Amino acid sequence: MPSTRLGSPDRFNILLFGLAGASKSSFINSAITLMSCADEIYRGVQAGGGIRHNTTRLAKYQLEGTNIVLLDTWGLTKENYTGGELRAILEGELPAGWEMGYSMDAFGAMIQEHMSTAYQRKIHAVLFLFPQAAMKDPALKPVRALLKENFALISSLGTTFPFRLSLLRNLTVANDAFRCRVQPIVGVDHG
Amino acid sequence: MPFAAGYNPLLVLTMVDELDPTIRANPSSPSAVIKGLREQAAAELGIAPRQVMYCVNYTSEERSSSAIGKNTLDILSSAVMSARDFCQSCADTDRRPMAFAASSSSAPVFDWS
Repeated sequence: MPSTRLGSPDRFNILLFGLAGASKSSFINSAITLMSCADEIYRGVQAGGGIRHNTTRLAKYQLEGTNIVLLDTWGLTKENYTGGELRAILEGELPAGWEMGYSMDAFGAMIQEHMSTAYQRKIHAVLFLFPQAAMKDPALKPVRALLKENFALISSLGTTFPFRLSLLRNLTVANDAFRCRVQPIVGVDHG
Repeated sequence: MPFAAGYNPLLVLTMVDELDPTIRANPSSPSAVIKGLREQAAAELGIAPRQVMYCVNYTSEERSSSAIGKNTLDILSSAVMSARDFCQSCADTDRRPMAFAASSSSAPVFDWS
């Protein structure tokens, strides 16, 4: 991937990720309202404010007069985002319009089909939206665990350690005995 | 060591007005309750408090509000700065001579003999 494309994109792709009903779509409405000249409040993005999913597709919104694109996602639950979908979204491998309900075959085919243009959709920043109520309620401890797990996952993605991994790759090829002494690497390279 | 720092997600606490309704009028001045929640969230995730923001969205308002607009702008600004840092990190990694791991075909072979 050419460095100019990733290092100097012509727009910033910002992912809105978070629990179902965490006001992701409401935030997009607020952002569109902010950037519009009108005094009226934009309510074009369907928002619920409850536990149900209002956003069922990966949707993108270019903010008027800016180089900012907001991507709205299906709300996180314990049951979804279990097949590598989050990593694929961050890498730009899934196009706008992709639905969480697609089969794994369709998921794989879609990644293949859109691989060559993935750099255009690669995510540059993530806003993780989380309802404040879930932060305090003792009964919602599992929800906080979900938050921590996925926040850590996002933090670990997009990281590359080119020198270290290449060095180790060649070291292990050069000397089998070295493998015995190599300590496990903390973290995973997703670059 | 050359590396791209990866994502630095921002946590945005939503619906904070349910906890403290006064914040709707002036989101720039959070109460002690909201500040405490922010610190709690930061501690829970092991991140810096500056990585935790809070958002106030429109509910039943008819007209746009400069206070809510400012809050939205603050979040967008932070997101853009995070995006800029990420892109800069990627560009720095690509510019360095040892940054070859992304393409294994172009990786030089070391002579360890």
